[in-house]
Amino acid sequence: MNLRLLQIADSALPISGYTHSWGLEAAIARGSVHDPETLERWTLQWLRENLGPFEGVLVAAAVRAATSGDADELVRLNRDVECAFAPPSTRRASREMGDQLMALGATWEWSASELRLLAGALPADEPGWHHPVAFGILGALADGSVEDVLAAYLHQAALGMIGAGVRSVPIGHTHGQQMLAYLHDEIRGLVEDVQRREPETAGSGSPSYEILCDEQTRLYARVFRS
Amino acid sequence: MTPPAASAGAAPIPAADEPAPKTGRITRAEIVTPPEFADCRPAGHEAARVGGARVELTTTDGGITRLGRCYQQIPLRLMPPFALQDEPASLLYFITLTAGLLDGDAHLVRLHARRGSRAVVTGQAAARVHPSRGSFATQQWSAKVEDDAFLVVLPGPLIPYAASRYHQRGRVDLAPRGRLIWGDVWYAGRYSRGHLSERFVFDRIVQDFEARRSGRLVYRERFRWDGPWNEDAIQWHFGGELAAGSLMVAGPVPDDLAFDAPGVRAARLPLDTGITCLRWCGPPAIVTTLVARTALAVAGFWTGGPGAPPWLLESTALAPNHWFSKPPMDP
Repeated sequence: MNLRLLQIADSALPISGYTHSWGLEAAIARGSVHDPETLERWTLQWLRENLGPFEGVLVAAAVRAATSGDADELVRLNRDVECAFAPPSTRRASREMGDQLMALGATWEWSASELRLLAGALPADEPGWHHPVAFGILGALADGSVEDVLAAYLHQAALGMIGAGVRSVPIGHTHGQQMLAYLHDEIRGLVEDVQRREPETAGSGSPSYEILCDEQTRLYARVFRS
Repeated sequence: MTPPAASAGAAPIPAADEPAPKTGRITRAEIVTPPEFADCRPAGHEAARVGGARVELTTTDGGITRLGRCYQQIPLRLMPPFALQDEPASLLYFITLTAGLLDGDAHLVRLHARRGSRAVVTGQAAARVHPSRGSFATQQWSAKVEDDAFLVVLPGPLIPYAASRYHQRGRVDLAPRGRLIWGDVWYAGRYSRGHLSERFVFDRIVQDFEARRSGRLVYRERFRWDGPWNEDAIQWHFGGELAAGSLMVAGPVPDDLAFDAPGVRAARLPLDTGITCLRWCGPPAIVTTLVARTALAVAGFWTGGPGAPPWLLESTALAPNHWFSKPPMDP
């Protein structure tokens, strides 16, 4: 059991993940997510159409780059995220979570020294580390395989989305955990697919989802920051 | 309407992160195959055509944008830029001589907007992507935009037929003061043909677009849409609508820009790199109009300041029958 990997994927990790819904709050406001079934379908689409092909591919690439000590490649991957995340709310969320994860990692004995070397490569005019790249770096330093780090990333993201739904739809915790269990096969399939994709293919294109993320920031009353 | 003279002859126009382009004939060797289509067999059948253009846009002493060095190759043909009276920009049309993009077709377009040039570059109609027989169709653009050049590129709506495969590649290289607007519109397919309608039944669409300013990446859009889509996927990507549109603006955008309309969902998404994205989902006719109108309104703001008319749309010298024209009934 890789306890370090468990730690960075823990939903209780203080990197503010619980303050974000990644557009879900706007979907709830629109009525398209309103019960366990619709929340599960929302989370499935998000994993399949956005998170896996975009962040998932970058996590896998970051693990490989960090394992080989290629700091320049990590900076390049991070720039790709910065320039591809069009909705400001989700872009800032990714950056904030990445920076906080890197700050936490800098305090852990198992990661601090190597992290300092890799993190120091980020040019001063770059706004910060994005979560998928930071997660890939820490995952590699935790001696995780590409497959395991990617699975951990997708799993913690799915759990985060379901957790946001449990609080805001709302639905029961038991339903939430059932949903996560139902999604395990999807996550395994995505890991298998995404880890083989070239880093240059990382990306997702969902105009409607991006519009939703923007709508979320203008809701009359909102609980989440994205 | 004054179509300025074009000087013929092939010329190398380095652009974006591309290797130095060849002069003369455009061949398949210049066409990039993305990893997403690596498994497709090469287009060797007779219908496949490689063509395109290398275009340099310059300005006359009077400030009119005209063609500089230019090379064109069928099935793409280039209309010399039209300089319309009282319009700040010239209109450059690409015409496709075939019925659309057939399987294996590859179009390469390299644009070089010289300092101070102003132009709208567009196709004459929507691009129809025909079914794949084992390969894919592609349009690969690059644009180099020098200081104080303002370029609007609107390739036109994309209509992916059933089982079609399409790859659009764009590489933009901006000088520190160069400005560019790029617009895309995607339709569900041949959506309005009664029982023969095709909606979201393409095989795969790959978008691969990157913009750099002074060599540094400022915008990246990469996606792979695998069809056919079910209802959940249609909802996810297009919000259940038949069209989606996108603008990438490298340059200032007025705070009070009007870019939405009833029946359409829209968003303005500023990046921290100085780029602004706009997205739309809605009925095809309205989305198409909004993408074109917004692009030309922002360009009008660039040349005329606040309250200036959009490029081309108010012109009395341009017939209102272009795909980007202002419709008789505004949305």
